[in-house]
Amino acid sequence: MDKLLDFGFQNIDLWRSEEMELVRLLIPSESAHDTVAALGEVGLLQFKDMNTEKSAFQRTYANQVKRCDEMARRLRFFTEQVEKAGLTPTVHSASGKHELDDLESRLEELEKELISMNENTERLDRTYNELVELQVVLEHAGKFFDKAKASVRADRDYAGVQEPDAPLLEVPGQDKVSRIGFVAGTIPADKVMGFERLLFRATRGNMFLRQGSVGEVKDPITNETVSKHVFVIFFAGDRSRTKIMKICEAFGANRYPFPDDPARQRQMDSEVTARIRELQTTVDMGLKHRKALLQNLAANLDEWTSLVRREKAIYHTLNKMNVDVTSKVLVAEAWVPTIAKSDVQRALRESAENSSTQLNVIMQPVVAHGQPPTYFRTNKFTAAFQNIVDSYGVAKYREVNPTVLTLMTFPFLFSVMFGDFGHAILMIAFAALLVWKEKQLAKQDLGDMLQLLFGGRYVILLMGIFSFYLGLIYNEFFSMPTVIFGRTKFKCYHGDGSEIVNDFGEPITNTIDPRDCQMVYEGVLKMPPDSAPLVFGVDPIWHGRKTELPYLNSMKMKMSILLGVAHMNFGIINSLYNNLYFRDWLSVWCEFVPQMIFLNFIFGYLCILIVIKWCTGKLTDLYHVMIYMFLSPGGGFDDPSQILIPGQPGLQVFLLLVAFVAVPWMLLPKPLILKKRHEALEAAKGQSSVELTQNYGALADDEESRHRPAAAAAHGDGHGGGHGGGHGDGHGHGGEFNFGEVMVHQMIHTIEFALGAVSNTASYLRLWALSLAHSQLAGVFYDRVLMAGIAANNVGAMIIAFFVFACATLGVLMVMESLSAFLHALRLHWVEYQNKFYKGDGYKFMPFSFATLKQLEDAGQL
Amino acid sequence: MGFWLGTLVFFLIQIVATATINFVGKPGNKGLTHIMAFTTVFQLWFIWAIIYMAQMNPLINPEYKE
Repeated sequence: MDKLLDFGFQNIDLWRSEEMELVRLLIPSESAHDTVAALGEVGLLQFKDMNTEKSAFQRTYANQVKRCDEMARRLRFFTEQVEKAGLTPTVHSASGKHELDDLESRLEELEKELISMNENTERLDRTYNELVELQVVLEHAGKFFDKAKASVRADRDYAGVQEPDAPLLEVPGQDKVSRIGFVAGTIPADKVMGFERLLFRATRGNMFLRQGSVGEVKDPITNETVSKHVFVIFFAGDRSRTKIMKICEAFGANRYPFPDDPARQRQMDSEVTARIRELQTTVDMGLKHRKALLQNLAANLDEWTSLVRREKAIYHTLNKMNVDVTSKVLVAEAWVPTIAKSDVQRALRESAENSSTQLNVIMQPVVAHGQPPTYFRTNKFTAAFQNIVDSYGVAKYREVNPTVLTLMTFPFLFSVMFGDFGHAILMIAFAALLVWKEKQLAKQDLGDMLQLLFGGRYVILLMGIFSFYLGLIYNEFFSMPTVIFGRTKFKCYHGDGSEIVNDFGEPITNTIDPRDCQMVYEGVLKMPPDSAPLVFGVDPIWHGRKTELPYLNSMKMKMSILLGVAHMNFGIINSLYNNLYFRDWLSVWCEFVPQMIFLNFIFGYLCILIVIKWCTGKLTDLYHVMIYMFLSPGGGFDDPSQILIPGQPGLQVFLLLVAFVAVPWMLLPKPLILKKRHEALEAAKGQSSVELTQNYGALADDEESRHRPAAAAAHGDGHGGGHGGGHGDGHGHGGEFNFGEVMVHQMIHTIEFALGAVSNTASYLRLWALSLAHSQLAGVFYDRVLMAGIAANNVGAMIIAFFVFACATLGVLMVMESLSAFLHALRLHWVEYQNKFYKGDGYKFMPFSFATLKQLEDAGQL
Repeated sequence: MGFWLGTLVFFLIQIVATATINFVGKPGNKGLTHIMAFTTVFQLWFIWAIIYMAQMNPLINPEYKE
């Protein structure tokens, strides 16, 4: 029995953040690097920056950081090259055996080698491409010439005359060609038109351009493959030549020497071919060499990168430490979770043994000023929920963590809006797949969207499971009602109130379709007065009835109010836990109690009325009751049958009065008492300063005050008053007490709560609105699409209808609707729930840890 | 009557859950698991109770469209 009742509520890790201690480390400078490396392995210390006034360049290890940056740059260059070559770096677990200096020189060498190799390859590539183009030009331009000659010859033959002054030794035809100049080359295909036009204008038509496409060729200058044309321009005169040259340059046309003698052309062609072959082998050799180098790099890249990353982080951390004047010792201050202190000590001992120095690292606790960081030890299940809370604000140190209840209330409130067990099955299936393939998926890069879903897989799974339950409660399966928990409880009655029976005197309800009750027998469907409702969930008869919406609306609206008031009460009770923990009795009596009274005497009372109305079935109009509770306290009950509780008018007057008293109760006593305390302290200060110093000494030694800075502040409230009353920021001892500020703060708080009680309760009505929207949308898709398709009695129509139905279900309901329900559940937690108790002004514990370096670097924080 | 019977069922579920958590699985601090079980069973009961009570005395009757 003892074991059964052992709940272990006393120490739930997630309930409050880990206790933190500030420690001072004195590290001998010769073993500083190794010590910090060992601490990085443990990963549970957050070093304080003790050189905030120094810029990054003035720090002790600025040089080393610079070296690491240089190495990181080289490694990025290598990674780029390796990725360009289509290789993937192999992932090693870092062995960490390399010495940084060795690695640095090696990286430098490798970089030089790779750069020179790249340059070589580039040069060879250019020559090669040039030769290839030349070959193309030779081939094509030769053809132009051949053609030109052929046509000239044909002309002559046709004319049938020999020029009388033709020299005997000259070959006819060749003569004319040689007297005019020509230029041959290549030009990108898309520039040909403009090129030709400009040439024509520049030479006033005194030129002749032959060009032809040669397809895709690599450009020697840009090394890109472009579609090109070969051209030959014939012209006369030197002036034209210079013009044409300039135009060629402007258009990026590559010119090539081209002999006009066919014999020399052939010779040149063979030369070029030979050189190309030769160059090919050289290029291939170079590429092979480069590939080998890159492969070697790819094999080591990951290890080196993580090593450099570690070293850089170590020097960054070292830069945060103070160098002692004697320069023998580094002084560091760090936050460490109390629970991890022994781990840290062990790591320090081990590293001291390994580094074989005479001096040990000294670790001593120091008194902390300022708020310690917030650290929650989460696991893969709770982490996603903690993230949801952290996105709103990181909890103050040792404050109640909303995550504990959010674990279950978040999926629950989601499911109130998403209750449909057909959709829930789809959601569970999806989340279960993610959870099942967890180990595989964790290693993969999933892309932003899927990564987000993967991170929240347990949230989605729970949302699905709760939606399944709520789907059963709402009795909706893809908006179809089911009879899992029994047939309808409504029976068929005559208009005069007697049950309709058949000829044998038996009630007809169980033997007919309920529809016929109204249509055939002209009766009404009523619940028998002595009957209990359906044991679980909403009666299936309501689906699709004329009165479905009025009935469900009234039910779900009241349900939302009940859920909301319960949820907000949990929130206020959490604030009680905070006040008790921080020993802030003032806030218990002057905030928690009046808040509970205000909320519950108005909206708690409304909830009770709702339940009583349900149980008694009275026709009381609750709007009317609530409105007249304020408009004419004690009145408004013209019809005595409206009264739900005996003595209700008097009760309402009482509730209203107490609730109104609760408002100044929240507002005034706390600032006034704080002021009194402050004045008492001032008086004491004047009396004896000696006594006060003793008091401070006692405070500083007080173990409790170190762990509970806010408790110290509450203490401080007694002595000096904290900023803004009860904001434990540890400076309470000597802080200025500004009554005006405290008063304004309290006023804002009070107004926020009093108005919030109304508006937040109304805000929970979104539960009703979204659940209504969900079931109506699902109903439309089911009735108007799927059922319409089936009614068409045509296979094609059915298939199309089913396809549309499936798409709409997935796209609209499973994606959009679930997203909106998620966001609304998020809002209800962030605003309506957390503003009752959650300060959320802490900062996260970011330990120096090698395990998280990569994420930090990816996020650009290193 | 049915309401209290249903509530009893949820209470029994809670006892079974508590016993399961305490007697199955490796020992250690199970506080968070217990809290989760409590909130879950409470929520499941709460919503069931709301829907059940809301249907005890319906003020509107189902009507078919003509």
